[in-house]
Amino acid sequence: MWLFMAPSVLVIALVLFYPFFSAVYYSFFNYYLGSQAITFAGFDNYTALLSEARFWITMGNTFFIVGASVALQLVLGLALALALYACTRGVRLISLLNFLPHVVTPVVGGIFLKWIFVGRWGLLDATLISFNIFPPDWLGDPDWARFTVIMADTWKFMPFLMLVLYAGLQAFDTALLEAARIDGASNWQLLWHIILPMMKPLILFVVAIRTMDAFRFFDLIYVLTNGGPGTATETITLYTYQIGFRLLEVGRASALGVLTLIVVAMMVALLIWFMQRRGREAF
Amino acid sequence: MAAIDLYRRLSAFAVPGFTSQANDENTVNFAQDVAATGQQWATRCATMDNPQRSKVVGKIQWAVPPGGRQAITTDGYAISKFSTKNKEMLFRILAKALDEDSQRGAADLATPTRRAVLNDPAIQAKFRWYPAVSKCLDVGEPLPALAEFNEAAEVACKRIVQAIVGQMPVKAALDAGAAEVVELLTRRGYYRG
Repeated sequence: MWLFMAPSVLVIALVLFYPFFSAVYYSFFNYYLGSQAITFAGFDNYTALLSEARFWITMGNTFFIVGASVALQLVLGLALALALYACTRGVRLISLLNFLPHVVTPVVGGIFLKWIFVGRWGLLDATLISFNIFPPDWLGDPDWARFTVIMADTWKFMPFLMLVLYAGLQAFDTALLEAARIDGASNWQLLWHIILPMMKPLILFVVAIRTMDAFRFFDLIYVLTNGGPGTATETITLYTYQIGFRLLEVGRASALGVLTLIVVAMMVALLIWFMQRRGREAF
Repeated sequence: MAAIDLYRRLSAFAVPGFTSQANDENTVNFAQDVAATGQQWATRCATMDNPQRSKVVGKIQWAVPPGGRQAITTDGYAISKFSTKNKEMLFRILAKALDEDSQRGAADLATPTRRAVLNDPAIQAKFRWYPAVSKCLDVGEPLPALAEFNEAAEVACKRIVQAIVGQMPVKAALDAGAAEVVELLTRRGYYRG
Protein backbone atom coordinates (compact mmCIF):
# COMPACT_ATOMS: atom_id res chain seq x y z
CA MET A 1 0.00 0.00 0.00
CA TRP A 2 2.79 2.44 0.94
CA LEU A 3 4.43 1.79 -2.43
CA PHE A 4 1.25 2.84 -4.25
CA MET A 5 1.02 5.99 -2.16
CA ALA A 6 4.66 6.92 -2.67
CA PRO A 7 4.26 8.94 -5.94
CA SER A 8 1.40 11.01 -4.49
CA VAL A 9 3.22 11.55 -1.20
CA LEU A 10 6.34 12.59 -3.11
CA VAL A 11 4.45 15.12 -5.23
CA ILE A 12 2.61 16.51 -2.19
CA ALA A 13 5.90 16.73 -0.29
CA LEU A 14 7.50 18.63 -3.16
CA VAL A 15 4.73 21.07 -3.99
CA LEU A 16 3.10 21.46 -0.58
CA PHE A 17 5.21 20.52 2.40
CA TYR A 18 8.57 21.78 1.10
CA PRO A 19 7.28 25.28 0.19
CA PHE A 20 5.25 25.44 3.39
CA PHE A 21 8.10 24.55 5.73
CA SER A 22 10.49 26.76 3.70
CA ALA A 23 8.12 29.69 4.18
CA VAL A 24 7.86 29.05 7.91
CA TYR A 25 11.67 28.73 8.13
CA TYR A 26 12.44 31.88 6.14
CA SER A 27 9.84 33.88 8.06
CA PHE A 28 12.25 33.88 11.01
CA PHE A 29 15.10 35.41 8.98
CA ASN A 30 16.02 38.74 7.46
CA TYR A 31 16.32 37.46 3.93
CA TYR A 32 16.58 40.07 1.17
CA LEU A 33 17.32 38.65 -2.27
CA GLY A 34 19.54 41.61 -3.14
CA SER A 35 21.90 40.79 -0.28
CA GLN A 36 24.05 37.76 0.39
CA ALA A 37 23.53 37.93 4.15
CA ILE A 38 20.71 36.01 5.81
CA THR A 39 20.41 36.80 9.51
CA PHE A 40 18.19 35.26 12.16
CA ALA A 41 15.42 37.68 13.13
CA GLY A 42 13.26 35.65 15.50
CA PHE A 43 9.74 37.05 15.49
CA ASP A 44 10.84 40.49 14.19
CA ASN A 45 9.18 40.00 10.79
CA TYR A 46 5.91 39.11 12.49
CA THR A 47 5.98 41.98 14.98
CA ALA A 48 6.96 44.45 12.24
CA LEU A 49 4.06 43.33 10.05
CA LEU A 50 1.54 43.34 12.88
CA SER A 51 2.54 46.90 13.80
CA GLU A 52 2.19 48.16 10.21
CA ALA A 53 -0.90 50.17 9.27
CA ARG A 54 -0.73 48.77 5.75
CA PHE A 55 -1.00 45.18 6.97
CA TRP A 56 -4.27 45.96 8.73
CA ILE A 57 -5.54 47.96 5.76
CA THR A 58 -4.89 45.07 3.37
CA MET A 59 -6.36 42.58 5.86
CA GLY A 60 -9.48 44.76 6.11
CA ASN A 61 -9.68 45.01 2.32
CA THR A 62 -9.34 41.23 2.05
CA PHE A 63 -12.14 40.56 4.54
CA PHE A 64 -14.41 43.09 2.84
CA ILE A 65 -13.75 41.88 -0.72
CA VAL A 66 -13.87 38.17 0.21
CA GLY A 67 -17.02 38.60 2.34
CA ALA A 68 -18.89 40.64 -0.25
CA SER A 69 -17.89 38.53 -3.25
CA VAL A 70 -18.57 35.16 -1.57
CA ALA A 71 -21.96 36.39 -0.31
CA LEU A 72 -22.90 37.71 -3.75
CA GLN A 73 -21.69 34.53 -5.44
CA LEU A 74 -23.72 32.41 -3.03
CA VAL A 75 -26.95 34.36 -3.58
CA LEU A 76 -26.59 34.48 -7.37
CA GLY A 77 -25.24 30.94 -7.62
CA LEU A 78 -28.11 29.56 -5.55
CA ALA A 79 -30.68 31.55 -7.52
CA LEU A 80 -29.29 30.29 -10.83
CA ALA A 81 -29.02 26.71 -9.53
CA LEU A 82 -32.69 26.85 -8.49
CA ALA A 83 -33.62 28.36 -11.85
CA LEU A 84 -31.75 25.60 -13.64
CA TYR A 85 -33.41 23.01 -11.40
CA ALA A 86 -36.79 24.38 -12.43
CA CYS A 87 -35.83 24.40 -16.12
CA THR A 88 -37.09 21.57 -18.23
CA ARG A 89 -35.23 22.41 -21.46
CA GLY A 90 -31.75 23.63 -22.37
CA VAL A 91 -30.27 22.96 -18.92
CA ARG A 92 -27.01 21.63 -20.32
CA LEU A 93 -26.55 24.54 -22.71
CA ILE A 94 -27.37 27.16 -20.07
CA SER A 95 -25.10 25.57 -17.46
CA LEU A 96 -22.30 25.28 -20.04
CA LEU A 97 -22.62 28.96 -21.02
CA ASN A 98 -22.75 29.96 -17.36
CA PHE A 99 -19.65 27.96 -16.62
CA LEU A 100 -17.55 29.55 -19.39
CA PRO A 101 -16.16 32.44 -17.25
CA HIS A 102 -14.77 29.86 -14.82
CA VAL A 103 -12.88 28.15 -17.64
CA VAL A 104 -11.21 31.35 -18.90
CA THR A 105 -7.67 31.87 -17.60
CA PRO A 106 -7.92 34.52 -14.84
CA VAL A 107 -5.40 36.90 -16.39
CA VAL A 108 -7.10 36.68 -19.80
CA GLY A 109 -10.46 37.21 -18.10
CA GLY A 110 -8.95 40.17 -16.25
CA ILE A 111 -7.81 41.75 -19.50
CA PHE A 112 -11.31 41.29 -21.00
CA LEU A 113 -12.82 42.91 -17.94
CA LYS A 114 -10.32 45.74 -17.98
CA TRP A 115 -11.31 46.66 -21.53
CA ILE A 116 -14.95 46.57 -20.39
CA PHE A 117 -14.46 48.76 -17.31
CA VAL A 118 -11.80 51.14 -18.62
CA GLY A 119 -12.87 54.80 -18.51
CA ARG A 120 -14.65 56.56 -21.42
CA TRP A 121 -13.92 54.14 -24.27
CA GLY A 122 -14.43 50.87 -22.39
CA LEU A 123 -17.42 48.75 -23.46
CA LEU A 124 -19.48 49.58 -20.36
CA ASP A 125 -18.75 53.32 -20.38
CA ALA A 126 -19.34 53.60 -24.12
CA THR A 127 -22.70 51.81 -23.75
CA LEU A 128 -23.82 53.94 -20.79
CA ILE A 129 -22.72 57.16 -22.48
CA SER A 130 -24.74 56.22 -25.57
CA PHE A 131 -27.82 56.23 -23.28
CA ASN A 132 -26.80 59.63 -21.87
CA ILE A 133 -25.84 58.06 -18.52
CA PHE A 134 -22.67 59.45 -16.98
CA PRO A 135 -20.75 56.38 -15.76
CA PRO A 136 -18.87 56.20 -12.47
CA ASP A 137 -15.11 55.85 -12.34
CA TRP A 138 -15.11 52.04 -12.16
CA LEU A 139 -11.37 51.57 -11.62
CA GLY A 140 -10.23 55.00 -10.43
CA ASP A 141 -12.57 55.71 -7.52
CA PRO A 142 -11.67 53.70 -4.37
CA ASP A 143 -15.26 52.61 -3.63
CA TRP A 144 -16.14 51.82 -7.24
CA ALA A 145 -12.83 49.97 -7.68
CA ARG A 146 -13.76 47.69 -4.77
CA PHE A 147 -17.19 47.17 -6.33
CA THR A 148 -15.59 46.34 -9.69
CA VAL A 149 -13.19 43.73 -8.31
CA ILE A 150 -16.08 42.12 -6.36
CA MET A 151 -18.09 41.99 -9.61
CA ALA A 152 -15.09 40.54 -11.45
CA ASP A 153 -14.60 37.81 -8.85
CA THR A 154 -18.32 37.07 -8.90
CA TRP A 155 -18.31 36.78 -12.71
CA LYS A 156 -15.41 34.35 -12.50
CA PHE A 157 -16.39 32.13 -9.57
CA MET A 158 -20.16 32.28 -9.28
CA PRO A 159 -20.49 29.51 -11.93
CA PHE A 160 -18.54 27.17 -9.63
CA LEU A 161 -21.02 27.68 -6.81
CA MET A 162 -23.93 27.42 -9.20
CA LEU A 163 -22.72 24.10 -10.55
CA VAL A 164 -22.00 22.56 -7.13
CA LEU A 165 -25.37 23.71 -5.75
CA TYR A 166 -27.15 22.49 -8.89
CA ALA A 167 -25.46 19.09 -8.45
CA GLY A 168 -26.70 19.11 -4.84
CA LEU A 169 -30.23 19.83 -6.00
CA GLN A 170 -30.04 16.89 -8.39
CA ALA A 171 -29.50 14.56 -5.44
CA PHE A 172 -32.53 16.01 -3.69
CA ASP A 173 -35.35 13.70 -2.60
CA THR A 174 -38.26 15.08 -4.66
CA ALA A 175 -40.78 13.17 -2.53
CA LEU A 176 -40.36 15.81 0.18
CA LEU A 177 -41.16 18.61 -2.24
CA GLU A 178 -44.14 16.78 -3.65
CA ALA A 179 -45.48 16.07 -0.17
CA ALA A 180 -45.12 19.74 0.78
CA ARG A 181 -46.86 20.82 -2.41
CA ILE A 182 -49.75 18.49 -1.65
CA ASP A 183 -49.94 20.11 1.79
CA GLY A 184 -50.34 23.48 0.01
CA ALA A 185 -46.83 24.96 0.51
CA SER A 186 -45.98 27.95 -1.71
CA ASN A 187 -42.70 28.17 -3.67
CA TRP A 188 -41.17 30.47 -1.01
CA GLN A 189 -42.20 28.08 1.74
CA LEU A 190 -40.63 25.20 -0.21
CA LEU A 191 -37.42 27.21 -0.55
CA TRP A 192 -37.18 28.40 3.08
CA HIS A 193 -38.49 25.35 4.90
CA ILE A 194 -37.32 22.43 2.75
CA ILE A 195 -34.74 23.24 0.07
CA LEU A 196 -32.45 25.55 2.06
CA PRO A 197 -32.40 23.44 5.26
CA MET A 198 -31.65 20.33 3.21
CA MET A 199 -28.89 22.11 1.33
CA LYS A 200 -27.33 23.77 4.37
CA PRO A 201 -24.39 21.35 4.69
CA LEU A 202 -23.58 21.75 1.00
CA ILE A 203 -23.95 25.53 1.17
CA LEU A 204 -21.60 25.74 4.15
CA PHE A 205 -19.17 23.43 2.38
CA VAL A 206 -18.99 25.58 -0.79
CA VAL A 207 -18.79 28.75 1.28
CA ALA A 208 -15.82 27.29 3.18
CA ILE A 209 -14.10 26.23 -0.06
CA ARG A 210 -14.76 29.58 -1.77
CA THR A 211 -13.66 31.57 1.27
CA MET A 212 -10.34 29.74 1.39
CA ASP A 213 -9.94 30.22 -2.33
CA ALA A 214 -11.01 33.88 -2.29
CA PHE A 215 -8.28 34.68 0.24
CA ARG A 216 -5.83 33.89 -2.56
CA PHE A 217 -7.63 36.42 -4.82
CA PHE A 218 -4.79 37.91 -6.82
CA ASP A 219 -4.79 37.67 -10.62
CA LEU A 220 -7.99 39.56 -11.47
CA ILE A 221 -7.17 42.39 -9.05
CA TYR A 222 -3.58 42.52 -10.28
CA VAL A 223 -4.75 43.02 -13.86
CA LEU A 224 -7.69 45.31 -13.10
CA THR A 225 -6.34 47.73 -10.48
CA ASN A 226 -3.01 46.36 -9.23
CA GLY A 227 -4.36 46.97 -5.74
CA GLY A 228 -5.17 50.60 -6.41
CA PRO A 229 -6.13 53.30 -6.46
CA GLY A 230 -3.66 53.69 -3.60
CA THR A 231 -4.39 50.67 -1.43
CA ALA A 232 -8.17 50.54 -2.01
CA THR A 233 -8.19 47.04 -3.52
CA GLU A 234 -4.90 45.78 -2.14
CA THR A 235 -5.56 42.38 -0.62
CA ILE A 236 -3.22 40.39 1.57
CA THR A 237 -1.97 38.32 -1.39
CA LEU A 238 -1.19 41.45 -3.41
CA TYR A 239 0.71 42.86 -0.45
CA THR A 240 2.61 39.57 -0.12
CA TYR A 241 3.47 39.79 -3.83
CA GLN A 242 4.57 43.39 -3.35
CA ILE A 243 6.92 42.48 -0.50
CA GLY A 244 8.17 39.23 -2.02
CA PHE A 245 8.49 39.99 -5.71
CA ARG A 246 8.80 43.78 -5.90
CA LEU A 247 10.82 44.49 -2.75
CA LEU A 248 12.45 41.00 -2.85
CA GLU A 249 12.12 40.64 0.95
CA VAL A 250 11.62 36.90 1.20
CA GLY A 251 11.67 36.80 5.02
CA ARG A 252 8.87 39.34 5.47
CA ALA A 253 6.83 37.92 2.59
CA SER A 254 7.11 34.45 4.15
CA ALA A 255 5.96 35.82 7.51
CA LEU A 256 2.99 37.45 5.79
CA GLY A 257 2.19 34.15 4.07
CA VAL A 258 2.25 32.35 7.43
CA LEU A 259 0.03 35.01 9.02
CA THR A 260 -2.44 34.66 6.13
CA LEU A 261 -2.44 30.90 6.60
CA ILE A 262 -3.21 31.31 10.30
CA VAL A 263 -6.09 33.70 9.58
CA VAL A 264 -7.59 31.42 6.88
CA ALA A 265 -7.15 28.34 9.10
CA MET A 266 -8.94 30.11 11.95
CA MET A 267 -11.80 31.10 9.68
CA VAL A 268 -12.18 27.60 8.30
CA ALA A 269 -12.01 26.13 11.82
CA LEU A 270 -14.78 28.55 12.79
CA LEU A 271 -16.88 27.46 9.82
CA ILE A 272 -16.35 23.76 10.63
CA TRP A 273 -17.25 24.40 14.26
CA PHE A 274 -20.36 26.25 13.07
CA MET A 275 -21.29 23.35 10.80
CA GLN A 276 -20.76 20.76 13.53
CA ARG A 277 -22.74 22.83 16.00
CA ARG A 278 -25.69 23.30 13.65
CA GLY A 279 -25.79 19.76 12.39
CA ARG A 280 -23.31 16.92 12.28
CA GLU A 281 -24.10 15.85 8.75
CA ALA A 282 -21.77 18.33 7.00
CA PHE A 283 -18.35 16.65 7.16
CA MET B 1 3.03 69.10 -1.12
CA ALA B 2 2.06 71.83 -3.58
CA ALA B 3 2.91 69.57 -6.52
CA ILE B 4 0.82 66.66 -5.20
CA ASP B 5 -2.01 69.02 -4.36
CA LEU B 6 -1.88 70.33 -7.94
CA TYR B 7 -2.08 66.75 -9.22
CA ARG B 8 -5.02 66.13 -6.90
CA ARG B 9 -6.88 69.13 -8.29
CA LEU B 10 -5.99 68.22 -11.88
CA SER B 11 -7.34 64.70 -11.40
CA ALA B 12 -10.86 66.14 -11.69
CA PHE B 13 -10.08 66.68 -15.37
CA ALA B 14 -8.23 63.42 -15.92
CA VAL B 15 -9.52 60.38 -17.77
CA PRO B 16 -11.57 58.17 -15.40
CA GLY B 17 -9.54 55.32 -13.99
CA PHE B 18 -6.22 56.98 -14.79
CA THR B 19 -4.65 55.52 -11.66
CA SER B 20 -4.96 52.02 -13.11
CA GLN B 21 -3.78 52.94 -16.61
CA ALA B 22 -0.40 52.47 -18.21
CA ASN B 23 1.07 53.27 -21.60
CA ASP B 24 -1.38 51.11 -23.60
CA GLU B 25 -4.48 52.82 -22.23
CA ASN B 26 -2.65 56.14 -22.38
CA THR B 27 -2.01 55.74 -26.09
CA VAL B 28 -5.67 54.86 -26.76
CA ASN B 29 -6.73 57.93 -24.74
CA PHE B 30 -4.57 60.17 -26.90
CA ALA B 31 -5.42 58.49 -30.20
CA GLN B 32 -9.17 58.53 -29.50
CA ASP B 33 -9.03 62.21 -28.51
CA VAL B 34 -10.09 61.44 -24.92
CA ALA B 35 -7.04 63.01 -23.26
CA ALA B 36 -5.67 66.41 -24.24
CA THR B 37 -2.18 66.19 -22.86
CA GLY B 38 0.13 63.87 -20.99
CA GLN B 39 3.22 61.74 -21.19
CA GLN B 40 3.66 59.18 -23.93
CA TRP B 41 6.15 56.39 -24.44
CA ALA B 42 8.31 57.05 -27.49
CA THR B 43 7.53 53.57 -28.84
CA ARG B 44 3.80 54.45 -28.93
CA CYS B 45 4.17 57.74 -30.80
CA ALA B 46 3.81 56.21 -34.28
CA THR B 47 0.21 55.22 -33.42
CA MET B 48 -0.78 58.87 -33.29
CA ASP B 49 -0.10 59.31 -36.99
CA ASN B 50 -1.74 56.04 -38.03
CA PRO B 51 -5.16 56.91 -39.54
CA GLN B 52 -6.47 53.42 -38.83
CA ARG B 53 -5.84 53.83 -35.11
CA SER B 54 -5.92 57.55 -34.46
CA LYS B 55 -8.54 60.29 -34.64
CA VAL B 56 -5.94 63.01 -34.22
CA VAL B 57 -3.62 62.47 -37.19
CA GLY B 58 -1.79 65.72 -37.90
CA LYS B 59 -3.59 67.50 -35.05
CA ILE B 60 -1.10 66.92 -32.26
CA GLN B 61 2.52 67.66 -31.55
CA TRP B 62 5.13 66.42 -29.09
CA ALA B 63 7.08 68.80 -26.88
CA VAL B 64 9.62 68.85 -24.08
CA PRO B 65 7.91 69.01 -20.65
CA PRO B 66 8.05 72.59 -19.39
CA GLY B 67 10.94 73.08 -17.01
CA GLY B 68 12.75 69.97 -18.20
CA ARG B 69 14.45 67.80 -15.57
CA GLN B 70 12.17 64.87 -16.40
CA ALA B 71 13.53 61.41 -15.68
CA ILE B 72 15.18 59.43 -18.45
CA THR B 73 14.40 55.75 -18.30
CA THR B 74 15.56 53.12 -20.73
CA ASP B 75 15.03 49.46 -21.40
CA GLY B 76 18.14 47.28 -21.45
CA TYR B 77 19.53 43.90 -22.26
CA ALA B 78 19.42 41.20 -19.59
CA ILE B 79 22.45 39.02 -20.16
CA SER B 80 22.36 35.54 -18.70
CA LYS B 81 25.52 34.39 -16.96
CA PHE B 82 25.46 31.38 -19.26
CA SER B 83 26.09 33.77 -22.18
CA THR B 84 29.70 34.00 -21.04
CA LYS B 85 30.18 30.62 -22.67
CA ASN B 86 30.09 32.36 -26.04
CA LYS B 87 31.28 35.90 -25.49
CA GLU B 88 32.16 36.42 -29.11
CA MET B 89 28.61 35.61 -30.26
CA LEU B 90 27.15 37.86 -27.57
CA PHE B 91 29.39 40.72 -28.64
CA ARG B 92 28.36 40.24 -32.28
CA ILE B 93 24.64 40.31 -31.35
CA LEU B 94 25.06 43.51 -29.34
CA ALA B 95 27.21 45.13 -32.02
CA LYS B 96 24.71 44.24 -34.73
CA ALA B 97 21.71 45.45 -32.72
CA LEU B 98 23.39 48.74 -31.92
CA ASP B 99 25.06 49.54 -35.23
CA GLU B 100 23.85 52.50 -37.24
CA ASP B 101 22.12 50.47 -39.96
CA SER B 102 20.09 48.40 -37.48
CA GLN B 103 19.04 51.49 -35.52
CA ARG B 104 18.10 53.31 -38.69
CA GLY B 105 16.03 50.30 -39.84
CA ALA B 106 14.28 49.94 -36.50
CA ALA B 107 13.70 53.65 -35.88
CA ASP B 108 9.93 53.17 -36.23
CA LEU B 109 9.95 50.56 -33.46
CA ALA B 110 12.31 52.00 -30.87
CA THR B 111 14.10 55.25 -30.17
CA PRO B 112 17.61 55.10 -31.68
CA THR B 113 20.15 55.31 -28.90
CA ARG B 114 22.82 56.65 -31.24
CA ARG B 115 22.63 60.43 -31.36
CA ALA B 116 23.91 60.37 -34.93
CA VAL B 117 20.81 58.41 -35.96
CA LEU B 118 18.34 60.17 -33.65
CA ASN B 119 19.43 63.62 -34.84
CA ASP B 120 19.66 62.67 -38.52
CA PRO B 121 17.40 65.19 -40.36
CA ALA B 122 15.99 62.42 -42.58
CA ILE B 123 15.00 60.33 -39.53
CA GLN B 124 13.59 63.38 -37.75
CA ALA B 125 11.53 64.31 -40.81
CA LYS B 126 10.14 60.77 -41.15
CA PHE B 127 9.41 60.28 -37.45
CA ARG B 128 8.24 63.69 -36.34
CA TRP B 129 8.36 62.98 -32.60
CA TYR B 130 12.13 62.46 -32.56
CA PRO B 131 13.05 66.16 -32.43
CA ALA B 132 11.16 66.39 -29.12
CA VAL B 133 12.73 63.14 -27.89
CA SER B 134 16.17 64.50 -28.70
CA LYS B 135 15.47 67.74 -26.82
CA CYS B 136 14.12 65.73 -23.88
CA LEU B 137 17.42 63.89 -23.67
CA ASP B 138 19.25 67.23 -23.51
CA VAL B 139 17.31 68.48 -20.49
CA GLY B 140 16.35 65.19 -18.83
CA GLU B 141 18.12 63.64 -15.89
CA PRO B 142 18.76 60.00 -15.06
CA LEU B 143 17.06 58.56 -12.00
CA PRO B 144 19.13 58.69 -8.80
CA ALA B 145 21.87 56.06 -8.79
CA LEU B 146 20.40 54.21 -5.84
CA ALA B 147 19.75 50.49 -6.11
CA GLU B 148 16.58 50.86 -4.04
CA PHE B 149 15.21 53.86 -5.96
CA ASN B 150 12.47 51.94 -7.79
CA GLU B 151 11.39 50.15 -4.63
CA ALA B 152 11.32 53.40 -2.64
CA ALA B 153 9.41 55.09 -5.47
CA GLU B 154 6.86 52.27 -5.51
CA VAL B 155 6.29 52.57 -1.76
CA ALA B 156 5.98 56.37 -1.93
CA CYS B 157 3.81 56.34 -5.08
CA LYS B 158 1.14 54.24 -3.34
CA ARG B 159 0.75 57.01 -0.77
CA ILE B 160 0.88 59.76 -3.39
CA VAL B 161 -1.97 58.10 -5.31
CA GLN B 162 -3.93 57.84 -2.06
CA ALA B 163 -3.57 61.62 -1.73
CA ILE B 164 -4.54 62.23 -5.36
CA VAL B 165 -7.73 60.14 -5.18
CA GLY B 166 -8.69 61.63 -1.82
CA GLN B 167 -8.12 58.59 0.37
CA MET B 168 -5.74 60.58 2.57
CA PRO B 169 -4.89 64.27 3.07
CA VAL B 170 -1.78 65.25 1.07
CA LYS B 171 0.41 65.92 4.10
CA ALA B 172 -0.59 62.72 5.89
CA ALA B 173 0.03 60.68 2.73
CA LEU B 174 3.46 62.21 2.12
CA ASP B 175 4.41 61.79 5.81
CA ALA B 176 3.33 58.13 5.70
CA GLY B 177 5.20 57.56 2.41
CA ALA B 178 8.34 59.24 3.78
CA ALA B 179 8.19 57.12 6.96
CA GLU B 180 7.80 53.94 4.91
CA VAL B 181 10.73 54.86 2.66
CA VAL B 182 12.90 55.57 5.72
CA GLU B 183 11.84 52.21 7.15
CA LEU B 184 12.72 50.48 3.85
CA LEU B 185 16.12 52.17 3.65
CA THR B 186 16.77 51.35 7.32
CA ARG B 187 16.15 47.68 6.57
CA ARG B 188 18.59 47.93 3.68
CA GLY B 189 21.26 49.44 5.89
CA TYR B 190 21.21 53.10 4.75
CA TYR B 191 20.02 54.32 8.14
CA ARG B 192 20.62 52.97 11.62
CA GLY B 193 17.51 51.53 13.24
